[in-house]
Amino acid sequence: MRKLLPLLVVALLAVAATMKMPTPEPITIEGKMVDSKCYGMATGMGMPEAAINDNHMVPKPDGDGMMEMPNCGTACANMGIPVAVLEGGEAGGAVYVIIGPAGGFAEYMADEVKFEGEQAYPGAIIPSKFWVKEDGNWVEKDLPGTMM
Amino acid sequence: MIHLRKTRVLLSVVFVLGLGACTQKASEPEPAAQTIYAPGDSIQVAGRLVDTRCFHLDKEANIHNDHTRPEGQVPACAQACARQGIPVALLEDGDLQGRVWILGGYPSQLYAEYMAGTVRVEGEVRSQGVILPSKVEYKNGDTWTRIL
Repeated sequence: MRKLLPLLVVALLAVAATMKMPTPEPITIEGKMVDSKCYGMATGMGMPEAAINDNHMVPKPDGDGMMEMPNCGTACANMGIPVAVLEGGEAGGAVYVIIGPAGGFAEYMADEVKFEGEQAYPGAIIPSKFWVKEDGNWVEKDLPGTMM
Repeated sequence: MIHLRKTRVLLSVVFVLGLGACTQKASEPEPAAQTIYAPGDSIQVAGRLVDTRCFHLDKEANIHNDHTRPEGQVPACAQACARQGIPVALLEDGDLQGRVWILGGYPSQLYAEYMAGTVRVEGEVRSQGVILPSKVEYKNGDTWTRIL
């Protein structure tokens, strides 16, 4: 019995620890960097492909048709609009918002990217590593810093 | 005989510890049944504005504007994070166990001065757990003021 006791204690504590805190899920996502506003709006209009590249198709101010807005993705990220990864880079793929300073990702908008991190919320990840595809190779980049 | 008593006492302690762990789990409030939203669904939801980065680190400590971070106490941290363009979220009903909705589509800076305050958001669901807001109101006393 004496020999069994430590085992019992360890087993019980292990069970209690497992029940208390679910471990966040690590995740790796590859896809295209999009801005959450234009891609979200374009998706709502049934034309997500209009906001997959850096130049976006947006409604004309007079409402009469569409016009191209150059570097719209970059501009949106620079304004602080949350950026996201469109998984697979194809319209209709899952979208994950990146928990990080949006402006720090502005230069990579519409690039092929890969993020490794923690799925902090449904549809959002806190990245711990980040790569951009350059000339067919994944190149690791520094994550944009924050003041804290 | 003494050994047998000791064993009984130890077994009782282990039993009580195990029971405590299970009771603690059982006494935690069960999350309320949540509506399942699909992308494109309209939604109206109220809750508290939180900063997605710090809230994930420690929900209880970082539900306010001042945060506890590994480097210490950071006053007005939520506002600072929003100003840096880190995505802002709405914590449904301001409840620690509530659902977290990432607010996409608009610069995070827009929400900076309202962080940790109560807001009401109307919009469309995008992806999992992301809202593209069409209207955001801030609660000041008994009055709702439109901020978007």
